[in-house]
Amino acid sequence: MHLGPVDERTAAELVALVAGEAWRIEAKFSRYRNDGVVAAINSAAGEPVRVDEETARLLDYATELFELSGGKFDVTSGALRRVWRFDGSDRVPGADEVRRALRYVGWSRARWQRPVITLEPGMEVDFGGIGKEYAVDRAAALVAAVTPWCLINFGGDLRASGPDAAGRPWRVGIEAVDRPDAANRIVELSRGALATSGDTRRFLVKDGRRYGHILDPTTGWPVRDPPRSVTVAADTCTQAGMLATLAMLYGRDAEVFLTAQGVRHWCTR
Amino acid sequence: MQLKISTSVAPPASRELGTALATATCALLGTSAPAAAIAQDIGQWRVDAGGLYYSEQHRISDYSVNVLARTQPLEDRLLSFSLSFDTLSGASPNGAAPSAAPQAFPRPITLTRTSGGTVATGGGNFTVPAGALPLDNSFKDTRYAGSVDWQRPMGRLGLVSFGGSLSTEHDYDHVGIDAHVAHDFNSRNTTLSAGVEWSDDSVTPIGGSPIPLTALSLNAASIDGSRAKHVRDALLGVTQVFTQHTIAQLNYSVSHSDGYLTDPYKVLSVVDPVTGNLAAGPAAGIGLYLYEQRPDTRDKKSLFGLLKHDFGGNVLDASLRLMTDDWGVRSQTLDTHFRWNFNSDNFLEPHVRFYKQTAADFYHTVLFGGAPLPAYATADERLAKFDAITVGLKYGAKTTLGQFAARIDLYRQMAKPSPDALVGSLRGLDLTPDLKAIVGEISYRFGH
Amino acid sequence: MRKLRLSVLVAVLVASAGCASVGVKPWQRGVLARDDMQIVSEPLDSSIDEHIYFSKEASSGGQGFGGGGCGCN
Repeated sequence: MHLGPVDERTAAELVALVAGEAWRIEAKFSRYRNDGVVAAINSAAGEPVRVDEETARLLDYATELFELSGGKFDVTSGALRRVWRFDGSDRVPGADEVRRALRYVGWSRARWQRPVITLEPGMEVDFGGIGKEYAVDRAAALVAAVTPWCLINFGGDLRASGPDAAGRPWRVGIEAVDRPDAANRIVELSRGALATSGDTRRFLVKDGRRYGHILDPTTGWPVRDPPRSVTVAADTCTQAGMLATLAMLYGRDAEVFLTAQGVRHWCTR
Repeated sequence: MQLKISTSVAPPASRELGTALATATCALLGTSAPAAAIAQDIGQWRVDAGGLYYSEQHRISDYSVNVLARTQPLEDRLLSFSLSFDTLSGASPNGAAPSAAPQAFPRPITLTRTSGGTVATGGGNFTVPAGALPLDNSFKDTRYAGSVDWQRPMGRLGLVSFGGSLSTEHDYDHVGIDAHVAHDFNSRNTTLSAGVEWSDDSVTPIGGSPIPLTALSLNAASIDGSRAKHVRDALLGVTQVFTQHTIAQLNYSVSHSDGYLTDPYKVLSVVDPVTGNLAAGPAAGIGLYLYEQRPDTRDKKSLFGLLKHDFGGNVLDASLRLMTDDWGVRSQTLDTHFRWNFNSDNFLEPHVRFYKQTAADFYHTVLFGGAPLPAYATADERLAKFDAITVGLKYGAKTTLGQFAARIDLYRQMAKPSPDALVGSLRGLDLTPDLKAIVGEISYRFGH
Repeated sequence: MRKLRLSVLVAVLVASAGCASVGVKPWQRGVLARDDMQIVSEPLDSSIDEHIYFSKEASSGGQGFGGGGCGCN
């Protein structure tokens, strides 16, 4: 988090505010924890689960995105993780394994009637595709109430509520695909958000073919020919992240998709 | 970024998707529509291009175009190169002193290679009125120069760079290589740097290099071919951040040159020690002028200090350089700029520079007839005792593509003749008239 | 004179290299990162001026290398 000039006490308060919000969202929606909302939903084994207002909004959003993307964005696609482990090895699952995993994937199989969600046994929801960007936007909103000069950065997903105190845009480096630690491009962000989707760190390689970690939930296999990295600038981090993810899901047509959306984007192939 | 346009596979209802996504996001975040994003791509290139006009009152003029380009293929690699093109023309002092009587100088016949073949130019005399500083106006040259530099990290806190440079003009060629290393200490607040440079230059004087301390005449004997000059420089420096608003640098450098360091076109007047009148030369109607001779080695040492301080968004830049060499020249340079960023897009930058140097040991405004010939002698005003002052102003404005700037500098050099030169008729003359020059530059910066 | 200058220089270099308490924290470098606060903020002007003064005066360099490479001095 980068702040303009604030006194030390306000700075400390803001840091606590942002960290607090980030941890709250993490605790509530992380799939790795067994005490949050996601754990409650995923362990219901076919029984209906009543959720709170915030979770309801996320599920409404997930529904909207599922429809808008023609099924490409699907919060139940996490089940595919049972057969796909992107650890840089060559352990690619067979067609039968993928078909079996696909039986537990598909938002249309879930019954979402606000505020109750019912999943079929074996299905799971995963907010990993929205969670981080949502957290950035929530944190930015909390800070914006106190000070206008702020850039929030959660591991590469950014939101700026305005330029820095000198009126100058924030300078952000976009990672070079073949060298994870060196930035390749500099972008000046005055306002808005940047989010990046890419396969730089998680992939499988077998027989010379690279399998990126973005899985197409309609086929169960990694998207064919996606860009190595997509960065999108949008008004909010959630939108930026969503557009970046959708672009990756369009694979070969990522750039066409983003151009059609009229958003600033940077794709590396 | 590769942009592939293929209309046949455009996703359905794309614009509706965008609006729907925006609406859905607002619903999720519980906010109304946020302000539009502003994100600007900075290319990896930075290019500085400038056109320069330099003009000395009554003397030479120079027009040049200069380009400096820098690119960062990766965040920690820097490739820079420069190109420049100059044309010089006009008249330049030939070293002879003004005299109470008019003077005539033979112009050696020279063979010039042009696109149409070899052409003979020169011959005849050019005359200078009484009291005027003799200027040779056959001065015309075109120079091309280029350089390259490649910088990469060395460890986590250091960097190393290698560079090369080339230049060529009518009678002078240069090749040089250099290497630098730098290392950060103290949380990157202190940087130590060191560098070396090697140059190999070659002078091919028009008409051959004259035999030093012999008389200027139409048929003066000369040595054909090129003469070599080598320069070796080394530099040691420290840069220190003092506060959030202050940074400073201190450098110590040494330079060693050897080879042909004499100016082949310059002469000294020989005058009578009592009357100050020009001695008679080898041919009728021409005075006695001897070609100059400088030592064939030169060692310089410099101490340079720079301070930059930010005053609420404006910057004061002040530097002091002290130089001494084994030719007897000692100089002090005080250079200051004040960048006044009067709004976020524009600036004005006044500039003042003071310079002072002593004369070289072998500088003589005139030589005296009858006295023994010195081993080395030059009347080149560049090695005389003088003060110089520069006053200038620069204006800059940010534009959509980068930054535009225009500047003017006025330079004045005020030399003093050798104290013993003011004899007889020379006493009433201005032996070292001031040099006044104007520098005008328009430049553009693309990228960051 | 020369010996005195050299020892003063060495002392200053050593002292500044040892200035462990002088400086700023990484997040305080906002002003120092500005283009006009760089040690060489206008490389084009610097190299043009260096060339002009090199051809009209007896001194050169100091900040970087003398450049030179021209038949003007």
